[in-house]
Amino acid sequence: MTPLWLYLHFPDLYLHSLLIPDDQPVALLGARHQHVEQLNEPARKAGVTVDMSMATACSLCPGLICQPLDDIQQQQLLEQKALWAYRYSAQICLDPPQGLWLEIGSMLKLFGGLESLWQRLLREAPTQWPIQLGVAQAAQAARLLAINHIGLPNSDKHWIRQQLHGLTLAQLQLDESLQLKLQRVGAKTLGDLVRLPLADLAVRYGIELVDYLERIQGHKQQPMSWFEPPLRFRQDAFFIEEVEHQNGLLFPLRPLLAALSSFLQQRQLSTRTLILRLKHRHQPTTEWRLSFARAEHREQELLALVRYRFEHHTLPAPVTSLRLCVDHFEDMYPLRAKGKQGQNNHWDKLLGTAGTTDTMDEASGVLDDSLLNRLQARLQHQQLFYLQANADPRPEIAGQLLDSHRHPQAAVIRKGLLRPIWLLDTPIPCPQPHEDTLILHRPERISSGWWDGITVRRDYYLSLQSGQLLWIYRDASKGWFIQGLFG
Amino acid sequence: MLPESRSHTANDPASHSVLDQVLDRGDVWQARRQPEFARKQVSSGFPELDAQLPGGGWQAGQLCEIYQQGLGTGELSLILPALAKLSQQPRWILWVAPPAIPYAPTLSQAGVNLKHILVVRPKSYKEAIWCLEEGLRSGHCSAVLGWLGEWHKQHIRRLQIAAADADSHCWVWPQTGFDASGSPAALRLGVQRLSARQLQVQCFKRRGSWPGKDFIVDITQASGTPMPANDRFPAHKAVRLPSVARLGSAN
Repeated sequence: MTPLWLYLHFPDLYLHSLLIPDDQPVALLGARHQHVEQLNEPARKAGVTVDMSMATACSLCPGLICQPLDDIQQQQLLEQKALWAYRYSAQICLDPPQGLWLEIGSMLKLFGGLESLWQRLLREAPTQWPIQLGVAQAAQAARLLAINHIGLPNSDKHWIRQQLHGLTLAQLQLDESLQLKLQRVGAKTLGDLVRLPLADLAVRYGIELVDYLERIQGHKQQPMSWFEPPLRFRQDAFFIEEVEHQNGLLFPLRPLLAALSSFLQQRQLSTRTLILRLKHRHQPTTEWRLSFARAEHREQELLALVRYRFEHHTLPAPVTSLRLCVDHFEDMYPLRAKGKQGQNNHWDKLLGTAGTTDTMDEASGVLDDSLLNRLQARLQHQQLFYLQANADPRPEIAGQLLDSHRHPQAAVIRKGLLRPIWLLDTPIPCPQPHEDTLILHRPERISSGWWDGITVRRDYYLSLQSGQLLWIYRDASKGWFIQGLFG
Repeated sequence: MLPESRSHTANDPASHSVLDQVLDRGDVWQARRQPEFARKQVSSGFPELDAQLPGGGWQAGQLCEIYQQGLGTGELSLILPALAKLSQQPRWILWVAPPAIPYAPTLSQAGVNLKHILVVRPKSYKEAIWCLEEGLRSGHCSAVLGWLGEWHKQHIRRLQIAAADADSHCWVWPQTGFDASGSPAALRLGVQRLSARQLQVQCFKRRGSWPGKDFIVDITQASGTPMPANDRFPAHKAVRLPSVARLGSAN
């Protein structure tokens, strides 16, 4: 199958990652900190242009915020975009600083054709980042179509060639000096260039130009190094204005959690630990580790859990940027869920045909853990329990509360014993009951526990006192205790 | 009568439709039109109790308050067979702030699936209310049980609304005095023990009906093991709940 390339161009990628108030002009300066590289609409309206020096820009627009453009962070942003695009194709190549190649020839059948993939991608792209697409059989051609904003969901070779031949030398992104040289021989567009003999072009303008032209026309392969998604999750939110209260972090955190949720779903994973790294202006970074009782992957649940967790934290200082990290993952469906239903569930998830997760889980007899998680997140200390029944004659061991971090074990319970519904945490001493209140004439003797040192030797009675049915015992020292109540 | 129905004569067909509309809205309660119980309900397991409960069983989406004087008066036995049935659903049964440890072997013997039981011991009344509401709102609970150290009408209203929205069963045992000024709960019962086998149940309020007379429920088989007979305990020793409590039945 011949490859088909889709190029994703993210204009002003770094600029759009900043949370900027609508009317605040902002310009990002290039590596030498002198010239504007990216700027937003308010700055553009004030007359600032790309490549303008910082001094000129600031005098044109007094309220302008100038920030250096961080190449490393821009590269990370591009990698985040690649992670996002991973849902459309597994073959992705980064084209720094702000572009991606996706091989989609093999994916068209899955997505129902080029037109539908194109529309879906535009629809699902985060609105925060504008995106320009181009598609062609040659990688460089797709790139040029995207960057010059003339791409259409049309893979017709004839049409593509027509579009490409109309591109000017500037649109081809050639060197300015090279542009000048070519203009001197009367070449204005790519169409003019390809009509010239290649050998002559190589001699006069260098082999690089010929190489470039051949790649655009698809006569030569573009070398590609495939992007491999790392199994760790990192995403950032930068704030132009510092955030002073932890609830102010929830809003920027929402898209990060949405990204995390889709990252987890694509890999059939879930997580139980989120790490938030909060950067401050004058203090070392704060790290918040948010752990949950059960692994989770759903966006809404994650958001609710984070919100509850935040109630236990206070910000030590205003925050300038936030990073969400996840390093440890678990299977989305643990072993116990992998019944027949669990398998179906897998496929439904994969194909995106699943209804709501909850109904599927219910059908397979698996309880939803989200309630447990939410309770755990809100309650500060260990206050959640399961009930554990044990095959032991001693009542305080036969029925216990079990910490919710552990799983209850099945036990064989002896039937036919008369036992109360309530068991007191510790037996309460009581005066000897009046004979009239005792119900069972024949007491039940429990004498056990010689093997582990907690020996009990008790006679149990039922006593009805002013409407309360008590389970009381007399121990070897003739003392009376209430241990349970028949609720 | 509502004002708009007055303006029409009885013969006017339009007046019928307006009246019907008003009646259909359910704002006006009519004795001859018993509410339809299309909601999920579960039999209490006691014929005497089912006969008194509206719709013939515990209704999902209706908050039930059970009053008792002290623990061990049979307050939990009343719902034990229903709990056993509900625990077969793959959903949680949440116990919030139980006054003692729910004894696992007894519940297991009564047919309750222990795997579906979750016990919360919150530190305060506020946390307890939050847990109850969260349990109801999550939609992952077949029943929510709560023991309340305080009683506030607005909280009971919130719980009643949450239970109705989630269509979930909810029982609460207020550990406070009986507030006779009325409650938003759909059902209010008082229970006291006559003997090991018999409970006397008072109904203070039931939605869609009059409170009705006190009745006796036989709980001999409730916990799976027969309760012993108690001929020696004199029935007249049973303490009645204060009669002022009955005033609450009007709302």
